[in-house]
Amino acid sequence: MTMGTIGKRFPRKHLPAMLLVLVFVVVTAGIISAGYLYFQRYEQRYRLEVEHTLQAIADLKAERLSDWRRERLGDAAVYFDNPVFSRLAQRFLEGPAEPAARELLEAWLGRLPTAYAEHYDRVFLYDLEGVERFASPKNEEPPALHLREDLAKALKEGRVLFLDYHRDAEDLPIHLSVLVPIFADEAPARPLGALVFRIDPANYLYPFIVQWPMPSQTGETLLVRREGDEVVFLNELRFRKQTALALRFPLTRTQMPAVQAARGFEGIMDGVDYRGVPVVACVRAVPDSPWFIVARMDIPEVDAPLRERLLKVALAVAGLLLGAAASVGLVWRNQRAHYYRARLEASEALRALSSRQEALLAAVPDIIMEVDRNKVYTWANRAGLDFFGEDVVGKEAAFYFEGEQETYKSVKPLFNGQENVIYVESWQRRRDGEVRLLAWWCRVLKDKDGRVTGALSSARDITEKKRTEEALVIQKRIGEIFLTISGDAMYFEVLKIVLEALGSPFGVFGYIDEAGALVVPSMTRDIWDQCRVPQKEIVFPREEWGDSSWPRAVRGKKTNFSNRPSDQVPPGHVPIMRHIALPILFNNEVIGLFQVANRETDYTHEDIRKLEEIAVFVAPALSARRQRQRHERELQEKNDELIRFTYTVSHDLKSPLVTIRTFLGYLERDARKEDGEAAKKDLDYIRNAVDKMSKLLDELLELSRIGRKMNPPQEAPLQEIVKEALELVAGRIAAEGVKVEVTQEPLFLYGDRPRLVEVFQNLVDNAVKFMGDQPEPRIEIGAEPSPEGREIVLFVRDNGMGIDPAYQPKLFGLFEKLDSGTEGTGIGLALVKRIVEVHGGRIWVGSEGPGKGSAFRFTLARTRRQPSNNPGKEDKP
Amino acid sequence: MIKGRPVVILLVEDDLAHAEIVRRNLKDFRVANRIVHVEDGQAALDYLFRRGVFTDPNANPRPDLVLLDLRLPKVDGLEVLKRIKADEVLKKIPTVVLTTSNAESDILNAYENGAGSYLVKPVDFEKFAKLLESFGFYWLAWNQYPE
Repeated sequence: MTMGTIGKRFPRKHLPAMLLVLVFVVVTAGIISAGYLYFQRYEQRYRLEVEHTLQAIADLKAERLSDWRRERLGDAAVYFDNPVFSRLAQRFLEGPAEPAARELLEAWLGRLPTAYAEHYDRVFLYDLEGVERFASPKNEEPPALHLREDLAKALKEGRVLFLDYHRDAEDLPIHLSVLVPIFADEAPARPLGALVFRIDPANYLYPFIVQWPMPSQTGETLLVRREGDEVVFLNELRFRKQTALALRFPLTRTQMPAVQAARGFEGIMDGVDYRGVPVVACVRAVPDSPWFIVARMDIPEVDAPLRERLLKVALAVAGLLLGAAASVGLVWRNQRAHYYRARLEASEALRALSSRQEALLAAVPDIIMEVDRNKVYTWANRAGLDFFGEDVVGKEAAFYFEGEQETYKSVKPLFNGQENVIYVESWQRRRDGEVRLLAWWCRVLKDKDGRVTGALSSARDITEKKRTEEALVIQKRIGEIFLTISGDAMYFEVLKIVLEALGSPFGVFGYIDEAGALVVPSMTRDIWDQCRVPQKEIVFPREEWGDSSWPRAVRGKKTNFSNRPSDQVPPGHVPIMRHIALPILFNNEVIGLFQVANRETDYTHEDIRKLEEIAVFVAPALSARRQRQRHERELQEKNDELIRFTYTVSHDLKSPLVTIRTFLGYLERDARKEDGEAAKKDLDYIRNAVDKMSKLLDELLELSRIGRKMNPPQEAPLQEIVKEALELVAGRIAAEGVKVEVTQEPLFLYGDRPRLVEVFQNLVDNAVKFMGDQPEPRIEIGAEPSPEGREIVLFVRDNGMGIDPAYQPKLFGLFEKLDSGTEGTGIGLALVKRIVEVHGGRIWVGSEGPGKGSAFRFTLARTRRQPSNNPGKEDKP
Repeated sequence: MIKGRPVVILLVEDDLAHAEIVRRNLKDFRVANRIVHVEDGQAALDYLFRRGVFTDPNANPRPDLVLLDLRLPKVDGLEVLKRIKADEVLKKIPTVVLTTSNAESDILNAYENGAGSYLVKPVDFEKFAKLLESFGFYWLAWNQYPE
């Protein structure tokens, strides 16, 4: 129950890879150990088996050899101390040669080499002299010299002697012999001779010793005996021939089993045989003999099955290991599969989560950046990458600072852990190189021990906001100045703000007046002090502008700026190191100029933008002020004109009245005196005065009609109007002999046609009147463009007496006459001026002075060089 | 004061009728024995500074009195007054403004520029005579005056 609950609560856990490896190692170790143990046991058993075999062989052989010896001695015993045989021997040896004795002996002995051929190769009988008296087989052989000594010994000791391996002579075969002393059957026993049973080891012993009871390639038994300090091999060997009695080794070579045998060791041993091959051997002493038997096998042969077995075990172990590895691998793979599936699921879940966060971060328009303790960026959201560039991660924050920044100082309390959140504004370089103001909210990041690891900051580009704020402040200040400061002081105050905003020491704020000249009421006071240009007039007529930066700006309606010293300043002028010249545009017309100069740092497009913004703000206000000033001036002019008019009218109307009144008095007096002559004179004065007054009043009325009572405006060629005017003054022209030239240039005037005729009529009349004593009087009527080319200027030019510049201002005044002697009331030019003004034009006079002719120039609105689409005649009244 | 020679009066007046009136009045009071009449401001200045046609000092004696109209062709009476008063010698000549204008601005301007007196036409010649006396002219000393 509990288990089940746990099982449910904790789903099956996967073995960790380490555990798997551990299991694998343990299993591997087990398998290897088991294999090793098994093999070791097997080896032990096998070795034991081999040893047993060797022992058995050795024991068997030793036993058999011992038995064999005993048998041989037994055989001898048949003849030793055998009275029957002793008598026969005595008879044969000492009696006369009797065939019967030989026959008997033959019967006793003759069959032995035949019947026991494997044991005895020859049986012979020696007499005491050592002479061979009987032999079977009967073949002659050279006598064995040592036998005489052995014979003597045997007779002396009175016992059977077993003569071990020996050679009768150097080149004779090896034999063993049993020597049986024969004594006469008498008391005391008398030696007769000896019976020798000679054994050829090749017949039985060698094959027997060599014989190995089971199939073996190296198994071999050796028979050895000790001779002094040597061990002597007694048999023919399996791997070497002619070894019997020939092969010897010193007893010091103890690693040899043969040597160990000679030294009295018995049992199993590992050693090296006569060939130098490692062997395992069993050593036994052959009882009742000087012999030792050694049964031995080469270790390689012994080990061959072991190696085979080892291979099998190793294969088995390897197989098991593979199996284990496969099993573990399978489990591991299963687990990995599980693990990856789980991880995949987890990562998908995580991805879902993180993509949600990504989406969140992407949806945030703010820049989000993470820095480490060293203020190196370690992470940035999309907005951050977009702002700083894709390579921002890994760069230090200060890399993007623009200009001198106190940002690090500001965020210090954050990084030393005093504050958690800090707000700081900082100018930063954007990836496109533009400098932007960022507002940062920096939040500290700490590890679990409370150490500061970095900061996560969000930033917002507040450049525009800041600019707008600044612009608003500037605009507010400028607006107040425009509202509160009248006159030219306004320009100075506005310029002060502009210079402050642009951080510049020098500047200009001026306007373009009606004549197109630049008027600068604002030139910085500092400049007046420092500038040594002799001409410091605040009006710059258009003709004198030259082609430096600001005139180009005004003409081209385009801002000029440079960060290089200007070479176009007049001598004595303050050197211009860098500047901006910006035309103030209103309705696409340049109405003014801003200039700032000599800031310590270069001007940028940002500065131009700032100045343009100010200009855009200032333009309508400036235009309005200029217009207001113009209106004020016009109003003032009108007012002045009215005053002048009233004054003139009162004066000029009063004059004839004074005359009339005074002469009426004289008339009365003269009438009383009845002085008819005087009275007539008085009446003439009175009449003239009345006429003059009447004329004045007529002309005043005429003047007042202009602009009040208009004929329907129409367009007409200049030539037509002039022709009409000339017809009206034709008589006078002809009388004075004046030549009149009229331009043939196509020009079209628009307005009150009879009045326009009147203008030319008056001007021509005037010119004729003041021709003076010119012998070739000439009047020229034509048109020319104004200096700025904006208008068409009409002119009536003569080569007459000309006008003193001093009198020119009075010329167009009402009832002004230059010469009281000339006819007329002096209203003509006033009338012309009035007509021109009513037609939206201006009139002025130019003359080089008295005697040099004069030129009346005037403009009329809507004068064209080609007819308009609406011919004047179709114009509605 | 100025004995033994005729008093010279410079009359600056563009209105011929008015000039005639002045001439008649002076004749009635037997004041001047020589009246020089010019019709515009420029001529007045030329006479006073002996320029143009007035260069001969014998033919054009310096006036003892200037009678000046304000509204004149070419050069204004006020301007003439200013020039007279700007000259070290001429400024001692008494100058009387004779005009139809009784505009306050004209009166003020005239006095500010050194006019000895300001008379509005038509002139009461009784007052005019007394005025001349105050300048030191003993009109009755000269019984004879040429035409």
